[in-house]
Amino acid sequence: MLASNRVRSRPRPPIRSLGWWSHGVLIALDVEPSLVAAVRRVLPPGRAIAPPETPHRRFVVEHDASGFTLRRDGRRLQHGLARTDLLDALASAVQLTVATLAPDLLFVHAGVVAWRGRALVIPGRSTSGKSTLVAALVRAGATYYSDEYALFDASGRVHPFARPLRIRRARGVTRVDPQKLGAPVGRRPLPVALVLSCRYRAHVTARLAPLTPGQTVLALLRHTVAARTRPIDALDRLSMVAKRARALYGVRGEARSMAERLLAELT
Amino acid sequence: MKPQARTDLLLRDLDGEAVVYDFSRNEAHCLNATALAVFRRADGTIDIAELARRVSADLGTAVDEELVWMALAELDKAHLLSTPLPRKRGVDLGRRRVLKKMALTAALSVAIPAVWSIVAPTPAYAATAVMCTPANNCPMGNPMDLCCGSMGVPAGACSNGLCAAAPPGSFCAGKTCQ
Repeated sequence: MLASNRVRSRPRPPIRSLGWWSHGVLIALDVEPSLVAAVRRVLPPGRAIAPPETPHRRFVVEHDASGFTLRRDGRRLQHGLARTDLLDALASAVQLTVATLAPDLLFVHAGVVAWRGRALVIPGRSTSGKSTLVAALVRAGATYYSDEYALFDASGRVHPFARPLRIRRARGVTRVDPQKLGAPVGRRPLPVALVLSCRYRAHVTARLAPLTPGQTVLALLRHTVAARTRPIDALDRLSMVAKRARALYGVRGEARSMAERLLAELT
Repeated sequence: MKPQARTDLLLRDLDGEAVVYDFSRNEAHCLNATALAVFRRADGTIDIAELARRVSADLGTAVDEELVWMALAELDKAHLLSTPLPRKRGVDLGRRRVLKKMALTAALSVAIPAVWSIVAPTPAYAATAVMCTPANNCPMGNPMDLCCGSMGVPAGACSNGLCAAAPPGSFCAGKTCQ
């Protein structure tokens, strides 16, 4: 009881307000000053701005004896978080907000690399092995665009979303600057040459079959963040991609051999 | 029987096939050329025999009534017809039987009607950023919340406040999934 009272009477740390602009979405964040540098590192590509009075979404981080609490527009998203989990949760929540609300670009959950001026798009959910394949492609010489989202503009070209690469290791996920792997990072939008919809399976030889343009649209749409909120726009953009790009689906084995095969396909 | 395709759908043509979006069900469907031809001609004013004649003309090859029924069954299964097909039609719509018949009678000059479907994802489902929830913090009543796996990534769905499908030994923030 005494401990509980002590917790309640502990003074709240001061809060610092931040503003962040990313792909046309205004985000406000209220966090402790000690978290500011770490929070900025996990935010999606964009730039710091003055705290907006009317942001699209406001995130608030509170801290008490049970850990960190994350709120979005007043609604509690998670609580009792350790610092590392808070940063992961905040990164995810802000990224999802940007992906949902970005007015000019369509966010599809996918890895993207470029090879000789054209893009390879690998749609897939988390843990589908996308990041591993993107890392292998980058090590094989491809230009890094994203391991999380393919951003399609109105003409069907794909834009970079170049956050550090997620590399899974036995003890968890680490983020690696692609330039440390010796990879160039893409800056300009590119037409899509190939869409690869595949699942990883250990110790198998890759088996891939072509997709028709209509099936390609479905393969992309099932990973499109705004599929329900902007279906017309999504179908228009993805149809443009599907008409111009080849598409393959199936299972793949180890990332390295798959990366070599894919780059050969694109050559 | 004069089948009628729904008209409250978004349709995008793609090199002979089409993608259809159903706003009311949040589903998307890919119709191959044969299914699309039947879908376009099924306007509720013509019977199956006439439908077969018109689809044959559209595709430039003979399409019999059984194939039209098969296409209608595919469209019906995807909820793309205004009125569901009657259950007993006296026609076997089994794909195997149709394929067998076609294999026996002639080489396939027309694609077997096919409709591929997906449910359009919610934003959270589509994104990487599905937040995973520590096992003892799994909220009630929101099936989109996912429990954390051993690497801090989603590894199971919350069900009635428990991390139901998380693999044994999964943990997040030092808390083992239940």
